[in-house]
Amino acid sequence: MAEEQVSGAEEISRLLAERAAQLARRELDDDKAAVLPHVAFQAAGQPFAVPLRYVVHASRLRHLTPIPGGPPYLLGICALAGHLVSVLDVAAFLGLRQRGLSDVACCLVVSVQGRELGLCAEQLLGIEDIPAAKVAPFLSGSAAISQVAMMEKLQLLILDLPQLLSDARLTEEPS
Amino acid sequence: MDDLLREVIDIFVAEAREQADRIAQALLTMEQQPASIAKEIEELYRQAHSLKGSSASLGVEELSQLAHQLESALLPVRRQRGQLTAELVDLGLQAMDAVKLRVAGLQADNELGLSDVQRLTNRFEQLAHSAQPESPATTDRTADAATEARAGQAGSSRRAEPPAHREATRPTEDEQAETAFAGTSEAAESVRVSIDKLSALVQHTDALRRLRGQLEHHQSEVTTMLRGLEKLVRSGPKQGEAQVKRIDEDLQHLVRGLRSLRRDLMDDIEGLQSTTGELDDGLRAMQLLPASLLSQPLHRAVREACRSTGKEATLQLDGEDVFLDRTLLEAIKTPLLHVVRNAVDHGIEPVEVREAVGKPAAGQLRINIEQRGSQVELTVTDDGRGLDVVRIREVAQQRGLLSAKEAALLDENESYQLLLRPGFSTKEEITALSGRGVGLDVVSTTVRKLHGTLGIESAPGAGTTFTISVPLTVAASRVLMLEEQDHTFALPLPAIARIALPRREELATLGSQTVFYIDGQPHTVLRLSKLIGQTHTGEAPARQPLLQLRGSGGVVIACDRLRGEADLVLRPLPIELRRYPLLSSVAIVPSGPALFVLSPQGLLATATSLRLAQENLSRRRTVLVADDSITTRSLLRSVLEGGGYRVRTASDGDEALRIARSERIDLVVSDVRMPRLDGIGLLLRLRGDARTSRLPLVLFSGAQSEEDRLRGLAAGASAYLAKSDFERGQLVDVVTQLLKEEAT
Repeated sequence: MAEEQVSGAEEISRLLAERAAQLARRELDDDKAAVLPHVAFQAAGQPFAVPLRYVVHASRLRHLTPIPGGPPYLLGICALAGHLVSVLDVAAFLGLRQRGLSDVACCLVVSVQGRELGLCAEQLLGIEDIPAAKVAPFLSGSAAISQVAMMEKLQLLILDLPQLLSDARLTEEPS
Repeated sequence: MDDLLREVIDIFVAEAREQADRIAQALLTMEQQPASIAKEIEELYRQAHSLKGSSASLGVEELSQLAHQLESALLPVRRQRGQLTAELVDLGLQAMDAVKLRVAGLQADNELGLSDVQRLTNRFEQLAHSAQPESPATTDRTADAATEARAGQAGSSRRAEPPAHREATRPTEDEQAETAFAGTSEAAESVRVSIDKLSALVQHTDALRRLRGQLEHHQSEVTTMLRGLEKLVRSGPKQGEAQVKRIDEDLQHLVRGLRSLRRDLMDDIEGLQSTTGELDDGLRAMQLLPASLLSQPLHRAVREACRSTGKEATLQLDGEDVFLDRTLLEAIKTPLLHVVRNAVDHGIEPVEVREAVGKPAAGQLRINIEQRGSQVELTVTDDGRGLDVVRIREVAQQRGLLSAKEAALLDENESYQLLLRPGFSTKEEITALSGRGVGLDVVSTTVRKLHGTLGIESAPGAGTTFTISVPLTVAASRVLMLEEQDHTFALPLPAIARIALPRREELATLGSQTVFYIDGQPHTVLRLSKLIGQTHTGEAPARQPLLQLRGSGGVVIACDRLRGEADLVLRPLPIELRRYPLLSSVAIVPSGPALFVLSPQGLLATATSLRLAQENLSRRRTVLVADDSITTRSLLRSVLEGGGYRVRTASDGDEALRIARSERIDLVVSDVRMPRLDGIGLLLRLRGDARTSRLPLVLFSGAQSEEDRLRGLAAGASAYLAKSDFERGQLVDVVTQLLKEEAT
């Protein structure tokens, strides 16, 4: 009787563990199936992606005013449809290797918690629905890029905008 | 209400309020500056006469009578046969408050303010018939010399008859202060807009109308294309090569049309964005009000505080021409009033105490309103007794705010902060003016709500300064626009002490520095481009503008040219740019790029260090970058400047040729495909000119074919780099190598 009881308890434990594993797997499968829309663009020859929810405006870049005494990664300031933003050369900022250059200049205005920034792009590649399953960790040495989307035709470096904007070089006080 | 009055009531009310404000201002000025009586009384009469006329014509007899009796009561002053008494000023100010109340009553079609107007009309009538004016508030031209010397101090508010002698129906101090400020609120309810600003807005709406026309045209194009497509669909399945070919041609035609339409629509959208942005800025600018609107309420607050306490004080208000967003202006009124009342009540000593310690009888209050970068700074300074730190700590203990041990640990600044605690007051008695411990608490709370800061500085026996600093939402400021190295900047006009346009021979050399003599003293000439981290190339103009900033010591700043003054709506810098000390704020100029307003303090701080670096900078070589892409130009500039070179830029071959021929250029980096004159054309023209035939030129091209490379090298290029293979280090290496070869 006592043995039966033990065996019954073990069985219950096993069943519970099995169910938990099944549920966890289902959740994982759901996550993998999740698709998040991103705006893909090319800067310094490198394809990047930013979550669509952060993008408030995109257009051709005109009237860029250089920043006197500013660093090379801040190309200037511009007014786009009422947004007055600094334009960041993402590749230079992140210390990525320059991979060619194109003549087309666009600006992607992103907004994170009310703070806006312009990202300089040679080309807007469009909106990419990136499934979570295609996202892999990426070791770049920068907290602003920790993931890459392995799409069919290209690999997109996913910008973590909150991390990017909290970089000490983009804060109010010099570090 | 009379029909005629109903038709024009809003205009009449606005005009009457303005006239009442002007009359009140004239009364205050005459009282504070007796020398101005002759001029101000005429202004007062003009306004009173207008009020009388417009009221009479609309049948508002009570206001017409009030204005008439005011004129009669002031007639002796106008004819220099009578004095401007304190009672006259009091009654005049009360009458103007009554006018404002009455017009509000007329607007609401009720009796509001009517009894006040009638009472004051009767009082003026009595005064007009009275032969003996009452106690003088200020001296007239016949006063004795000693009194005149004291009264001559600008803005002096004087004690007068004791409160018991005042009119029984006189409002309390608080009510008066509120009425005085209500004047500012009324002014803020309506706006006066210059014809220029309105014309600019009309131009923007014209642009919007044109864009609407273009969009309607595009809509008709879409309709035509859609019909074409529908026709193709309706025509059913096709057979035979000819039919398929025709469909193919039709489809290609439609695709071309759609592409063209997309381009046009993109242009239209950009046009819309630009125009709506400018419209937005124009409307924002209309919401700005001058800080001078605070003048009358503050002067009245000081006057009333002096009357209550029996003290004397002068008020000087600087920065009245600063324009502030109306919301901000409204919000800072109350804190300012409290600080001013507090200064008179707590800071300024009684006349006998001041005279005993050798201070002027009248305390001096100074309010300065200034825009400092993204902040508005308001300082209220008095020359009173200063803050008593020991007393503040004692009171804090009595009020149970802290223990004796804690009090002993507080430094001066921490002790001052106790003043901002709710319920704190060092006054023994509660009066209408202060002592209830709410004044500075209100100041602190309001400033905090505005995301600002409140600073207190004090020196025993010398006075106290309250500094309120609040961020701007938007503010217009008068700036001087100047140009340097093809870039336009702005400098706040108040920061500029002097502008000179010396001829070259008026500049001298002292050691390695160019100097300009001002009042016999040499001032080092520093180029603006050097101060902002660039190098200046090109010839200086025959007469070079030099700017001397306030507090600049021995430095003047040279720029290429001045582009005049402008009123700009300034916006705070984006967060990431606030760390750059050379920048103050940013403005969007209509139909132009964003414009940086430079920080005078930042420029001055940079001046010293740059003087030392001057010689090193002068040894750097200059690279001319020609490319029609702004991105490429910016990138190459940063790469080459990072490599230690000066950089000049040109947006096409024509411009590059002009610069290469007129300035000292050591090497050219040029794109191949550019408008007007391409890279190969530029190369051939440079090689064909004896002045530039040996100038090294690097072709930096998007074209990647071997044929292009050979064509470039055949034309005489020193090197050929493909944009697709671009690497930062490589370009600097190539430039350095070519310049070395050229030198040998």
